[in-house]
This record gives sequence, C-alpha cells and structure tokens, in this order.
Amino acid sequence: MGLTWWWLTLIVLLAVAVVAGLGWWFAGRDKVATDAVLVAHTRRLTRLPAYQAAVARQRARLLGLGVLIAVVVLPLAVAAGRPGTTETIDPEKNNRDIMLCLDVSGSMIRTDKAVLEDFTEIVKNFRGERIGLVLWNNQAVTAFPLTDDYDLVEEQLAGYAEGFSIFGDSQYNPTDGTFNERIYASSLSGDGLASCVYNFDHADQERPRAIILGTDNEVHGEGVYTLDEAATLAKERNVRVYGLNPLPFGSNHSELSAATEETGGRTWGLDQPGATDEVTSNIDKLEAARLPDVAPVHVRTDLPTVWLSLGLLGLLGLYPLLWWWRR
Amino acid sequence: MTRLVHKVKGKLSIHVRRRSVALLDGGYASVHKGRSMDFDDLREYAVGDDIRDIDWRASARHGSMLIKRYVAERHFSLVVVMPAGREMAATAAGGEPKRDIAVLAAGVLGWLAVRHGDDVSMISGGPGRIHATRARSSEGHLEHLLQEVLTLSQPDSPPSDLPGLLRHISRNVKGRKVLLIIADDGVEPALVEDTLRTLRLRHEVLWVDVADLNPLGVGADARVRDVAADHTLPDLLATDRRLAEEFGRSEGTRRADVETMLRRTDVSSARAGHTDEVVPMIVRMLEKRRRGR
Repeated sequence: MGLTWWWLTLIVLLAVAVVAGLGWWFAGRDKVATDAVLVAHTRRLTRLPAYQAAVARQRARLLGLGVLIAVVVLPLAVAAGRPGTTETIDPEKNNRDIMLCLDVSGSMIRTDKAVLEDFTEIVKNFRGERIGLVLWNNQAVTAFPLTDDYDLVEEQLAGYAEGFSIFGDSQYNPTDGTFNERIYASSLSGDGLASCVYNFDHADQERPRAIILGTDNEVHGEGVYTLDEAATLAKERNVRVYGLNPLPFGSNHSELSAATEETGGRTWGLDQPGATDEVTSNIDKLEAARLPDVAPVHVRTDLPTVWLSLGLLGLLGLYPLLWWWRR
Repeated sequence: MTRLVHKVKGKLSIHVRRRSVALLDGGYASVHKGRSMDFDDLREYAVGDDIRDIDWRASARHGSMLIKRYVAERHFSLVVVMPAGREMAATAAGGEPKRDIAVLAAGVLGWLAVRHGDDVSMISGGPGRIHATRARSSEGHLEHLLQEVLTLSQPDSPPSDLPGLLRHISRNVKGRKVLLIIADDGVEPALVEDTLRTLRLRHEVLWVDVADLNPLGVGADARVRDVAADHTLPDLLATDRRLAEEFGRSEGTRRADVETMLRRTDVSSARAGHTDEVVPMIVRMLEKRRRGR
C-alpha cells in the first residue's frame, strides 16, 4: 500500500490547511462591523444560561462540522495521491501458455492417475502461466481451455485424477468423448498432439508455448497425423513439446523422444525419481533460454475505492447536516 | 437652530388636534396639581383651558364660565434626566435610533413646559461626567438641550449610567422639580428602586421607557452588534427557538419588575419604541395621571 502521487496528497492537505488558517486569521481580526445593526444592553441576553448553552451548542456544531470536513478532505487527499499496490512481475512467465496433453487410452488407464498427479505437481510450481488440459484417445476433448485460474486448474486435475481410480465416485469421467467407435483406432498420439497444438489461442501473438504430453505412444491404427507430422506442426507453430512416458523404453519411447526433441523439448520417464521437479526446472530453463531478457515490470493497482467511499460518506453526512442547520 | 423643536411641534400637530393640545396642556398642568389639591381662587374661562377644570357650581352661580385656579399653577421647573451615551445610539424596537425617541419625548414635555413659561434644564452624562445645564424657559434653550442629547448619544460616545445619574440628583438637586426620567431596557429595578423612592419624596417623577430592539428579533440575515462591543453576535443564534423563548421569559420578568417598581413608587410611566408612539403615549400618561389623582 503506497501513494504514487504522495506530493499531491501533501499539496491538497497543505492547501486546505492554508485556507483554513487564512479563514481563521481573517475571522479572528477584530474589525468593527459597520453594517451591523447596533443594539444596546445585550448583556440581558448574554448572561442567560440559555445563551451560554446555545453558544456551547454552536461550538459543538462547528466542531462536528470541522470533523466532518476533515472526514471528507482527508480521504479525498489520500485518494488524490493514487493509493494502490505495486508488484514486480516477470512478463515472460505471464506470457507463457502450457497445454497439458494426456493420453487416456486403455494402455494408459493404470498410469494416468500418476501422470495427472505429476501434472498437478508441475502446475504447483508455475504461477502466472496459463494452463489448459486436453484428454485424447482416438479423438481429443478439451477438459478446460487455457486459463490462469489456478483454483479451477487444481480442482479439475484433482477431479480427473479421482475419475481414474476404480472405486472413485467422481463426477469427472476422463474418458468421456475421447473414444469414437467409428474410428478403428486408439491412442492416436499424432492426432492428440496435433489437437493440443491447435488448441492454443491467440495464434497471431508471439507467446512461449509448451505442451506436456503424457503418453506411452502405443498407437493402434492410423490417425490423420503421425507423431512426426504432429511434431513438425508443433515446430512450425513454435510450440515445444515435453514428454512424460510411463514406459520409457522400446521403439515407442525412442519415437516419442525423437518427436519431442525435434520441437526442442525432451521426454522423461514417469517413474524416474524427481521427474516432476526435473520437468519443471527443465521447462523453466529451456523456456528461459528461449526468451530474451525482459526487465521486470512494475505493475501498480490503484485502490481508490475505500478512500473515495469514505469521502463520499463524509459528503453524504455533511450536506444534510448543513441543510438542517441552515434551514 | 430651532430644527429639533420644530420637529417636536410637527409631531405634536400631526398627532394632537387643537382640542387635544389643550388636553395635553391640562395634563401637563396637572402634573403638579397632584401635590396640592387646594385651589387659590376662581377665574374666567379662557380659550385653551381644560373643560374639566370648570367649576360648574360656581359658574352656575356667577353666570359665566369659571375655572378653578390651583396653587400648583405657579411656575415650576422641569428637569430632563437624560442618560445620554452610546446606548442611546443603538436601535430602538421600532428601528430608529433610540436617541430620536428620547429627543422627541424630552422635546414634547419640554415644549409644554416652555409654553407654560416653566424652566427646563437637563442632567445628562455618565459616571464622572455628569453635566447639569441651566434652567431656562425658551425654545432656544430647549433646542440647545436637545442638540446636546444628540451630540452625547453617538456610537463612539462613552457609556451612560442611569442609576448613577439618579443618585447624583438625589444628592445634589435642591428644591421641588418635575423630573422626566428617560430610561431604556437596560434598567435593573433592584439598582434604581431605592434612589427612585428617595427622589419621589421630593419631586414629581415622570418615567419614559425607550424600548430597545430585541437582539434576536432582527432576522437571520442581519448582523447584530452591541454598541459596547467590536464584534457581532453569533448569527446562528437568531434561529435558536429555545434561546428566544428563554430571552422572552427573562425580559417579561424584568419588565414586570420595572412596572411593579414604578407602581410602588407611584411614578407615571410610558413606553415607546418608535417616534410615532411618543406623543400618543405621553398624552395617555398625562391623562392617566390626571385621572388617578
């Protein structure tokens, strides 16, 4: 909480103080009121207890008025100084889009829960990036689009992880809509990856984009894209693909590694101890290496609401009182 | 030089028709009559004499109009007791300066005195500055006295002190006089009653109150300043109803006390807040006095 234009607050307060002081001085000067009606023997009036009481009432009123004016002026002076918070933000982080891309085919069912939990872990280390989740088997379903609403992200990831457990009573069914019976194929990793690539929005903007692809790459049948073609597409669109493979060996794994490395990314085995930390740090490092050094940006958020409200409340109190007294 | 006396005459002619001037004369004469009811002799009725003085029995026996001539018709001396000062420069209840009302009241009775060939003098001023004029019976002298009242009653004049004036008179004025006391709403009955009683033993006393303006009754827009102070009264007080009621009560009590005091000391009194009220109220005062005897 700070004041951007603190000097303006000072100027306003000084000006009010100067005006009040000048008023006091002018009112205090003993000048003979020549236009006043002359009366005699006002002691008849001024010695009355009722007169003393009336003067005391008058003083109390003026004091109250002064306090109310202060209640109006002080918050307005503070509001004039632009109260708000200042934050330093790395623009590169904020600009990043990360698409979680999960294979929910039969061969992955047993390990998907672990992959989703890894995703959750990875996501916990990010702040500011936009995260999206796409689930696919022989066709892809967007679980949630790119968003920086981390509460939603964590809730959805936890929900889908729960959906994979056999005894779970989750309202999230991760396999819904991912298997099209008219397509005689399953686990089409090429189509899945391509769907994820196409799922990025703001194609016209230069944003660091990454996909974390959780799959064993055990493809049955033929899709529209092969994995290589999908990787080429990702590369064209400047999207890096990072792989998480629960079965990190064999020809499927080497094909996946080759595809991810083609886009500039890597593939890790799911069971590797500390794999998630490695994924995040690698993504961070790789992405950071790709980004030009951008100076941190100071973002300030103006918070004038409280002060303006206080001032307004003061005015709301002041005017009826003035009307009441001047009636 | 006779500007003020002309004004007095003008007021008299507006308010009192010829017949009433005679009434006023009779009333004036009766001021003294009260002290001595025994009359000297009878004389022929002359134009201007009060018909109430006609001795009907004697007239019936004599065949022409005879009126009673009182011992009191001797010449006597009118003393105007004028607390001139800045208080008299203040505003009266009717909106005029109080001094105008004081001058008119003193002028009317003074003119009547001069008309009867009686001496008029004036005692004015405050503590330490008490000034007594000579006693003369001329319009020029009366004019001089009235001009002096105006001169002494300016906003920058020193303050007046009626109780002090009255004490001074009770100590220093010898012989039998008719005192015309010009008072205002600053009078505290407790402070003047004893002196007034002493004065009443020796002199005839007439009391004319000049009503002061109510400082709360001028309206919210006008500012009010006491002649004794440099600053104005707080202006928002004019709208304070409770204060106005309290002030009205306290003033009512004070006025009632003044009237009680005047009744107890047997002093004829009148009260005016405007120059238009002066002549009628003096006529009324003299009439009442005449009947009360």
